[in-house]
Parts: sequence; C-alpha cells; structure tokens
Amino acid sequence: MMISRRNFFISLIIMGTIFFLFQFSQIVKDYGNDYSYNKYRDIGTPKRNEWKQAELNISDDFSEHTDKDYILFLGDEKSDIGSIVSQWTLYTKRNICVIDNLNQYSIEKNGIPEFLMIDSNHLDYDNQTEDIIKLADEGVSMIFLNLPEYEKIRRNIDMLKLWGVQNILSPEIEIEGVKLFSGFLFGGESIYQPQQKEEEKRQDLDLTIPWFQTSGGTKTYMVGLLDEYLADDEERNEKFPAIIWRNSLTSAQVFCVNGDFMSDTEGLGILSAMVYELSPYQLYPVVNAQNTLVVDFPLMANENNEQFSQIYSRDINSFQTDVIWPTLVTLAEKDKLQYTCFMTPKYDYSDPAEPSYDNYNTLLRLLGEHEAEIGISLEHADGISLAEKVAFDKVYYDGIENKYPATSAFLDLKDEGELEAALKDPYVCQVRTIACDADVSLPILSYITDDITLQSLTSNTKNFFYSKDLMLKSIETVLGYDNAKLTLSDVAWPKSAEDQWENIYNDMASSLKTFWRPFRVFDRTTLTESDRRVRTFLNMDSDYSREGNEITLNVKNTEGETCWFVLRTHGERIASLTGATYKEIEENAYLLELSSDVVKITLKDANAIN
Amino acid sequence: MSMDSVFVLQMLKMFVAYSVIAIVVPHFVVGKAIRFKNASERFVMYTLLSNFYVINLVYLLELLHISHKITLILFTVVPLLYIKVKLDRIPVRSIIAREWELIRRLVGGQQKLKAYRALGYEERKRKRKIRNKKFAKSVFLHIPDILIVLLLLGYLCYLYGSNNLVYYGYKASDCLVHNNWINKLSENVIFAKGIYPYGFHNVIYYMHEIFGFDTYMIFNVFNIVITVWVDMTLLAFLKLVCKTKYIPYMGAALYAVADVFNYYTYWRFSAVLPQEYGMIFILPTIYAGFAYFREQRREIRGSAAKGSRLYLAAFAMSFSMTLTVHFYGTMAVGICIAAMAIAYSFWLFRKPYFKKVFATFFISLFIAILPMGIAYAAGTDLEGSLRWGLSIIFGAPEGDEETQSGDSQGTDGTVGGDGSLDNQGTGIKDPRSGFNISRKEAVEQYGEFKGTVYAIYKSIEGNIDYVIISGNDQIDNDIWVQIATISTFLLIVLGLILLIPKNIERMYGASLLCMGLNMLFMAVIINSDFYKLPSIMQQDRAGQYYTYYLAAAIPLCFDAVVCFISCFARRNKVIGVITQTVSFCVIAMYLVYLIPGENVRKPLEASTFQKNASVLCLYKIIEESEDNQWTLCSANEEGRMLYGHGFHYELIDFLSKMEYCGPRGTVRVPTPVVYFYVEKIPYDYTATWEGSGTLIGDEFASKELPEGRNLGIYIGENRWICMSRLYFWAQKFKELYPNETSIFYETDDFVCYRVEQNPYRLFNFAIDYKYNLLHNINSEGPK
Repeated sequence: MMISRRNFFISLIIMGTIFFLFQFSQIVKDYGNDYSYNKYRDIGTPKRNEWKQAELNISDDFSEHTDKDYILFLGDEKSDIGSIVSQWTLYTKRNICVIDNLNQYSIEKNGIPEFLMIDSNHLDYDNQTEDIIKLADEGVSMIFLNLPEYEKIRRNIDMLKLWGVQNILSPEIEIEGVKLFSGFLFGGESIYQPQQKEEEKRQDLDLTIPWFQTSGGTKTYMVGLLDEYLADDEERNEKFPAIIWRNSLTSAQVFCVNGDFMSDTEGLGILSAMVYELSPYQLYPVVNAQNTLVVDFPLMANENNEQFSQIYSRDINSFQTDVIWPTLVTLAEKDKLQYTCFMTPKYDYSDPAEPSYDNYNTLLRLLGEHEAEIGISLEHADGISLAEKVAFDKVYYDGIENKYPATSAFLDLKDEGELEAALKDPYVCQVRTIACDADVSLPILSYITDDITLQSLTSNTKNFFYSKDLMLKSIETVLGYDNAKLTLSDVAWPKSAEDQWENIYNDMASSLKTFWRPFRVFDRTTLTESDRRVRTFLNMDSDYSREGNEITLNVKNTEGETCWFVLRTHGERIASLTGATYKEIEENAYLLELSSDVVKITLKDANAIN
Repeated sequence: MSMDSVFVLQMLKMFVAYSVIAIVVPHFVVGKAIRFKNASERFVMYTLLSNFYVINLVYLLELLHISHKITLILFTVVPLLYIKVKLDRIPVRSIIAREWELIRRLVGGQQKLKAYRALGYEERKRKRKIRNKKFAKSVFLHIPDILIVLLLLGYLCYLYGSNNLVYYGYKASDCLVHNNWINKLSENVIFAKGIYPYGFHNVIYYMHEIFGFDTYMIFNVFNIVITVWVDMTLLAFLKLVCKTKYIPYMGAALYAVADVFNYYTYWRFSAVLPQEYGMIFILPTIYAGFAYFREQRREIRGSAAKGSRLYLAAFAMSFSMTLTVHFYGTMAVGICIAAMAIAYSFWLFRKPYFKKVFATFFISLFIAILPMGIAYAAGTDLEGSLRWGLSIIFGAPEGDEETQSGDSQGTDGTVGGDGSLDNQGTGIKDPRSGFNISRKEAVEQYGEFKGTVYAIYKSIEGNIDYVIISGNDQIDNDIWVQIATISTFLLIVLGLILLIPKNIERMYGASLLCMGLNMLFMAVIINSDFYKLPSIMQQDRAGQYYTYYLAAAIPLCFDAVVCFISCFARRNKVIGVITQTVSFCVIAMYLVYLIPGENVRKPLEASTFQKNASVLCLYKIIEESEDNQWTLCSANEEGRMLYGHGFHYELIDFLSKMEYCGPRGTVRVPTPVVYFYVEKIPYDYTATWEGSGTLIGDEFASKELPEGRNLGIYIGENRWICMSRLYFWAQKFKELYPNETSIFYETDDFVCYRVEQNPYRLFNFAIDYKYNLLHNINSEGPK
C-alpha cells in the first residue's frame, strides 16, 4: 500500500517535532553552560578575623572575669583530652585556664569557673579528695573527663559519693554494647550493640569498664549493656553500668565519664551536651554545613588496568562515567547530597598509565550538571612526595585548554609539611580551603593561612564503626557540621573484595541512609560553600541574655554573612522569633538562621498550662 | 478552651447522649407501637424501656465477661432492629427484594434514578405537609406547656449546672467508689467489691463505652442530666395523674425551683450518685400501678382493649430498676406500694387483679435480684454497704455511712479507694422539737380521742417541718408545713370521698388516697424511732424521698380540690374551660409567687473533695498526654479518675518508701512523665481542724509521717503533713533535676510538678529531702 503524500508529511513533521523536543533541551543546556566555570569561586570569603580566647594564667588576676566566665582545666593541654577541651572552648567561644595541679587554683583568687574539667591522671585522689569535695560544696561544677583505676578509688567513699556512685558492682566487666540515650547528643538514641553477624565489624568501642551503680540524684546519659547478664532482673535498665552520668549536689553538678570517650572528637559533643544539661537553655553558634567529599574521583589515568578490567570488564574511565557517577547521582538525589569531587590525574605514580584528556570535558559536564564542586586531590600512593605529585599534575593541567579553577583541595595528612610549598603552584594557589584526614591534634576547623581554611574530615562512609557514629553525633551536636569522605582510590587499587565498588557503595548507601538521616535538617554544602560558613563561624562572637521568656542574642564580627545558631531547651518551644528563622532539629533543639545581628526569641513552656 | 467551656460542653454532650439513649432510640424502636399514648406517657415509657434494656444488657455481657464497646453496640443494634421490625411489622424481605430489583434495574439502565425518585413524590410531599402541619398545630396548642418546660429546664441547668462550674471535682466521696466499680466493668469485672445494685453503674459504663465519655467527667457533670430527668418524670407523673392541665407544673416547679425544702433534701443532686439516679424510676412505678388498675377495670368492663399488660410490664421494669439502681428507692416505692395496696384494696384482692399484680411484683423482684443472685451463687459476697443497708432495715446497730463499710477501705491497694464520707453537714433539726407534743399532754388538754389524734397530727406536722426548713428567711416555713400537712390529710379525705360513688372517678380517688397514705407513711418513717418503729431509712434520705413525693402530693391535692369543685364536669365544655383556667391561674399565681426571686431556690453550692486546680490539671494531662505514658502521684482522689489514661501512685506510698532510706533506697515510677499534686493549702477532706486554711510548711513536714492505709491519713493535720513532705521533696528534687522538673500548673494554693525522665533509665525518686526519718543515712556513703 502506498502512503499518501499528505500522510508522509504529517509523519515527517511529527518526527521532526519529537526530535526537536528531545534535543532542544540538551542543546540549550550545552550552549548555556560552561562546565569549566567554577561557580563556587564567586562565593564570598569573609576575611580572617577570628575570635580569640583570653589568655588566662592561673597566677594572674582574674578580676576582669566574672564568675563562671571561663573553663578551668586540670590536665595537660597537649594531651589528647587537653586538645579536645581546648578545641571545644574555642568552638563554643569560651575562655580556658589550664592547671596541672589542683593546688594552683583558689576560689578566692580565681572565682568560680563555669566548669572544672578534670583529667583524673592529674588529680591526687589520696590527698586531694577533700579539696575537690570542698570545691563542689562551694558551687564548682565538675566534669571528670575520665575516671581513675579502680584500686585508686575503691575505698574512697567520699569521692564515690561525690560522683553519685551507690555501689561498685564489679571493678571490671565486659559489657555487650553501649547505649546512648536520646536528648543528650543530636541524633537520638543509639544502641551500639551488634544485632546481626555483619554488624559485629562495627563494634570498636571499649567494652571493658568498671561497673558503677548510680544512686538517687543522678541522671545517666550513656550505659553499658548487659542484656544477657541481667536478663531476669526487673530493674536491669537501672543496673546497667553507667558510662556517662551526672550527680546533682545541692550547690553543684558533677559529671563523670567512665571510659575513654573524651580523648577524641566525640568528646566535643559530649562536653556541649553536658553544658546543655546544666542550663535551662543553650544557645551556641554552629557551622551548618554537611559536606560529602568524593576523594580521588575522577581519576584520569587508567591505572591498574589489568586487575580493574578483570574485576569490572572495563577501564577506570568508563567505569567512572558509566557506573560510579550515575550511582552517586542516585544517592545524592535521595539524600540531597552536594558532592565535592577531588580530581587527580593519577593516584599511583608508579603505574605506567598516563592520564587521559579525552574524558576531562565529559566528566566536567557530568559533575557540573549535578552542581558538584570539583577540587584537587593532593592524595597519592606511596613512593612519591607531594612536591613531585604537584609537579607531575601541573604538566597534566597545563595541557588542558579550559581548566576548571578549583578552590578546594584534599590533602593527605602525611604531606602536611609540604603543603606550604605546594600551595605556591599555580593550579593549587587558587585553593581557599583544604580538607584533610582527621587527627586529634588537628583542629576540625581552623585557618591554615589568612586565606586558606582547614576542614578536617569528621567521618568516612567506609568502615563506619560505632565510634565513628558517636563522633558524627558529637560533632553534629557541637558544630552542626560534617565532612564525610568517600574514597574511590581503593576502587582503583582494591586490596580485598571489600574494596570493590559494590561493597563500597553498599556501605556508603546504608550509612548515609541510617547514620546521617537525623542530620538532614542541616544544609548540604560543597567544601567551598562550607568554607564561607566556617570562616563566619570562626570569626563571629556573640552574647545573649534572657529576661522572662525572651532571649536576646547579639552577634558580632559576621561582616553581614549569614550565620547559624542552635537553641536547645528543656521543654520550651519557640513562640516567636525576630531577626532569624528556625527549623526544628529534633525535640527541644532548633536551628536558627540569623538574618540580623540582633535576634529576639520568645519561648513558651510546652509542658505547662498557660 | 477554658475549663468552664469544657464543662458546659460536656454537660451538653451528656444531655444529648442520654437523650439519645433514653428518648431517641426507644422512639425509633417502639415509637410507632405506642404512638397513641400522650407525650408524658411516652416519655416515661421510653425512659423505662431504655434504662431497663441498657442495665440488663450490661449485666448480661458482664456476667458473660464479654462486655466491650463492640459487643455493646452489637447487642444494642441487632435486637432493637429485630424488635422494631417485629413491632412495626416491617416486611423486610419484600423491601430487600424491591430494593435489589431497583439496584438491578438502575445498574442495567432500565430505570433512571431521577424517574424513580419522582415516583410517588407528590404523595410523599403531601404526607410530609400533613405531618408538618399536625406538628405545628401541636406545638401551637402547647405553647404555654413548652414555655414552662423550657423555663424549668433552663432554671434547673442554672441551679445545678452552675455549681459544676464553681467546683469541678466530685461532690460526694461515694463518687470515687462508684467510679472505681465502673472502671472495673471495663475490665469485665462486675461486683468488684461484692454484690451491690449495679443499675446506675451499668448505665454510666454504657455511656462511657458507647459515647467515649471519660467516667470521671460523667461523674463531674452528669448530675444535671439526673436532675432534669428526675424533675421531668415528676412532671410527667403529675401530667398523667392530674385532671387539670397546668397544675402539674406546680409540682415540678415546687420540687426544682421553690426554696421550700431543707438543703439536705436536695444537695445530693449536686453529685452523681445511684440513689438520685434511682429516683427517676419511683414515680413511673407508681403511675404504672395506677394505670394498671385503671386499664384492668376498663378491660373487665369491656370499655377498653387489653392495654393493662403494658402497664404491668412498665411496673415490673420500673420497680425492678428501683432495686437494681439503689435499694433506698425500692424502700420509698415499697411504702407507696403498701399505700397503693390499701387504696386499691377494693380491686386488688379480686381474682383478675390479684394474680397478675403479685406475679408482676415477684417477677420484677426476680429480674432485679437475678444478676446479683447469679453472682452470689458464684461465690461473690455482699458488698459492705448492702450489708449495712440490710442491717438498717432489720434493725441491727447502725454502722457508718453507706459505702464506708469496714472492709471497703484501702483493700484494693490505694488509700480510701472505697471509702466514703458525706461532705455536707445536714443541718437536721430534731423532728421532735417545735411542733411535736406528747400524747399525754394532748390527752390532758383535749381528752382521750381528740388528744390522741391531735398528738399524731402534731407529730406528723413536726416531721414535715423537719424537711421543710429552708434557710431562706423570706419563706414562711410554717405555711408550707401547714400546706403539706393539710395536703396529706386532704388527699386521704378526698380519696375516700371519691371512692364511695361507683363512677369513673373512683380510680382517681384511689390514686389520691394512695398518695395521701403514702405521704402519711413517709412522714412517719422520717422519724420512725419516735413511733418505736424499725428504722428502715436514714432520716435525711427519707426526707429526700418525702420532698419528692410532697412535690407530687401538693399539686395533686390542688388538682383534686379544683376538680372536686368543678364536680369533674369535664364533658361540660364551659365548666371544663373554667377548670383549666383555674388550673392555669393556680400555676400562674405560683409562678408569680416564685418570680420575685426571694422564694426561688438559689444555685446549689456544694463543695467538692478536690481542688479545682487538680481537676483542671487532670483534664489537661489526659488531653495532652499519650495514654499510659504518665503517672500521677497524688492523695487518693485521682487514682480512680485517670483510669484508662495513665497510672496513679498513692502519695502516702511514695513518701513511705523513701522514709527510711533516703537516696540509698529505690522509688521508681516506670513512665516517661510523672506528675505530682501538692496542695499548698490542703483541702479540708471531710473535716476541718484548727490548722484548716493554713499553708503547708516546715512545722508540718517535720512531724512524723502518718501511718496506715485508710482515709485518715489524708484528713486533718495528716493531710498537711503529707502535702508538706511532698512539697519539700519536690523542691529538693527540682534542685537536683532543674531541667527535668517543671511546674505544670500553679495557683496560690496548689501546684502540680511535672518530672520528665528517661523510661529506659528511670530516676530514683528516693532522695534525702531533709525530712526523711533517717535522712542522715546517706552520710554513710556507698557500700
């Protein structure tokens, strides 16, 4: 049958229209976007004007400082605990005075600190118990950042009474897990006890602790689980060994931490939560940034091609564009993630594969379409120095016509010493913020130079142990901040089956869906966006006061930048707010976004009849 | 919403709900079958049928242990639909077949819905028009009646409802006991503390389950419904017995509005109690008796169809309900039945009457006793107050009040759970004073016969004086005493006179005689000791029933006089109009007497066993909290009220547990939220003492904690000690847990603390709050 001319033309027009409709958007997108342009570069960078602590020396006159205006730390500032305490005071804009012996401090001369934080290694329990009790009687609230060995205190009844310990049921017991109660750290209740075989690998908490049973007047925030041991006990919940608790005395509060929880970053949030527990309400600045860093992606060289092809039946370049990125995009859409991808020409410079230019623009487009930021990965395999890597990479980047001007970089901690030199390189010099692995001696957020900030990693989706979750909760509580890393170099250079993409993706997806879920209220940011907020956070200073139900918050040093505060209450709700907007983080916790330097918050008691 | 608004809304809701049970549903089921009865008779019948059905349905389901909202609805709807179908002879099968055919045709497109609706539309419209016209005419003809009834209802609501807005809590201690028993019904446990007439409890439980009212709220405001129903049955009774149209309103107004009677004869209407609820069935029983004799006589004479059975059934239902609700009601009715037996003796002992009457009487007793008998046979003992009631009847030494039997206090784990004490002083005047005169004096003064009659007359008058003592100075009590006394004797005289001629008014005469004799017997029973008779009822309770009867007797006497004067010439239109006009004038005059206000009863002022703040807090807690996630620690009262919503911790238990231990002991409350009620100025629970009205404080807290588990621990100084202890405990606890302890509500004399705790790591509430007996023990430190 012959088709009529009329029908032929109609079919042709329809086909043409459909073709146009399909291609039009793509053509417009390609012409309308310059994927080599880094839009995050336009983000303003507040000048360095960071808030500084007053230098308090115990022998100085404290008359300028009113009562409860500083933290007194009994311990070594250079120790891990000292570092955490020091960082916490910095982030929460508190002054700190460090002493290494309790005798150095006197209430008459130094006034009453907001807290006396005690590293038990620096307290002589045999001779200074009376002094400590006297301080408590005079109204000095204390935090025992760790507890001494059992032998030192088993006969020290006064000290046990001060801690609110009714009985020591065992000097050492193997707990089955740890339970963190809700309302202390952000993120709600957590039970760190494997329920399934595959969860067992997550357990990395110290499970051997003394078994303290707390008395009336105490409140417990974290306990060790002994489900099987106390299976038939009606009061088993109350008998579980206390790990973090508070004892209320008439004039002061005493917090105790039974275990090593204060020598790493989880200690930051715990300290903040303790302050919250002591106050009728708590108002403090946070960063409000959640970064997801994809390190060593894209990798431009087809490294380890033989092994890689054996596993995935394709080379790295095509695997990255066809498999990794689409799955990352799916994940990002589900969890509204904002990726910062750290590109590297090569990871293992001993591998003969040369970085390819072919995929560069395609990858820029793919990443740009989803508004991912592209940074520079300064991470590399062993056998080469940072300077050599930078030199090698320079050759590669020089060969690119439309280079993406990266403003962020990822640094391997082992190259920390070489960073200064590396920053002089033209393709690195535009970097304004650097992410690096976490280290307790390194602050999470700080200025490296006047122009560059440091944002340490706070979490890693691979090997997400229980302690990592505790850290995540802790840092989210104190800073409203997360810097999570997805490492893809392991995919290129797998050491075991666990490093294969499907396993890494599974870990990543399940972690993001569960452990990060409570923090979705915080903004998802790229590293450069986060940098701006970090600078504002580090620079700002604030003070607040409360009259009746109205809190007035004054913020300084923000240079007109938006900043965020967390308000935590005990049963009170925000009735009205001027100069800010708010979102509820969880029950009794609100994230305030300030639009003015003066904010007025009116609270109402949700648990009372008006 | 303010608490006043909540209470008003609840009162309205309960009124509507009870009206649905007592009027709407029976009207739907049997309305067509008794459509020829007048409104008053239908009102009485509906009330009887609905209550009888509900009470016995709950009995049945409870005894079978299958009582639940679903079964209650199922056993209400299905049998009632069946009864309706049978009574109205509804052709269910043909209706279903017709409707099915219609659906089939509609679905098949053979019938248009619009066309179907048009079928018979005009006819339906015409019938509706006729119905509406008839209704409008009926309303128009009864405008004065409607206005008077509305006026009465309005004033009743004001009189008894306003007190509910002034005092929120329970107005009688018994309420707690009854509340507890009703709570137990929700667990399918009937006769929780022994066998007791459960009719009232069954109705309240039914309302709670079907309409979802909280039982404590029913006990707070349902009195308004009871009062209205008691007064409306009085009005309906008078409308049915009296010959004149308007005089009956005098009775309703006299009982509800006039400030004539002693306060103690009506204060109990401020509370929701079985005895008052049982009063609803007293006059219907008497009317059913009157109506039976009237109808049976007509049947024998062949002037009427067989309608007497309906009244026998009504008699059986109402009499059984007096017993199943409260045995005092049965006693009051029993006296009237005795009077009825005398007044109608001319007919009663005739064959057609005797067998039926006695069979009905025993059937009604059997119906009432059967559920209790089953429980007794199953081994349940009598409840303390029933034993006490029987001891009163059989003349054993009087114990305490009604539900305050020895074994009923604190036996269920909470203090005073079943204890009861009336909170009102009765202000009873000794009946033998004033009017009374000894027979010897009278005989000396007037001679043997005349003196004896005079002495009896004066003693009766004295007893009547006992109940007619209003506190109102504007009222001349003596006049009302004379009216009451004369009415009593006049009813007897007029009744006897009317019994002589063999005309139609003999039955009316018998009813007058019955009421007259009833009044006489009741007047005697008020002070039975004086006549050396067994005391079958407490004086104040007898007085309560007496006034109710008196409110029926006085108008009946007026009615009889008016009718007597008009020679019952109802068929003579002119005389009939004159008679009704006179009756209207009587009620008009009475209203004129009342309207100035001095003679009108003032709104009831009956205080409660709780502070308003505690009820307010409880309401808010229940409203705003998740069920079973909170505990309330308080002194006794709220333990029963919060049933189904939260848990209760008895204050004395709470304090006692930490008395000897301080922080080394353990007191845990396993809910996330715990509330504590502290009365800063404690309530004078049932009794005052020299410290009444003072603030709690150190001097009370430092005294020894009262021991025991009876109500005494919360009475007088003991309450001050408990509240002071709790207050200082709360202060100390708040010091230790400032963020976890908040003030939920506070007034000058009350404070409610709220403690929030982690349910997975409960607080140990045992602390050293300075007043613990061994408060220094904690200085020893840990083991």
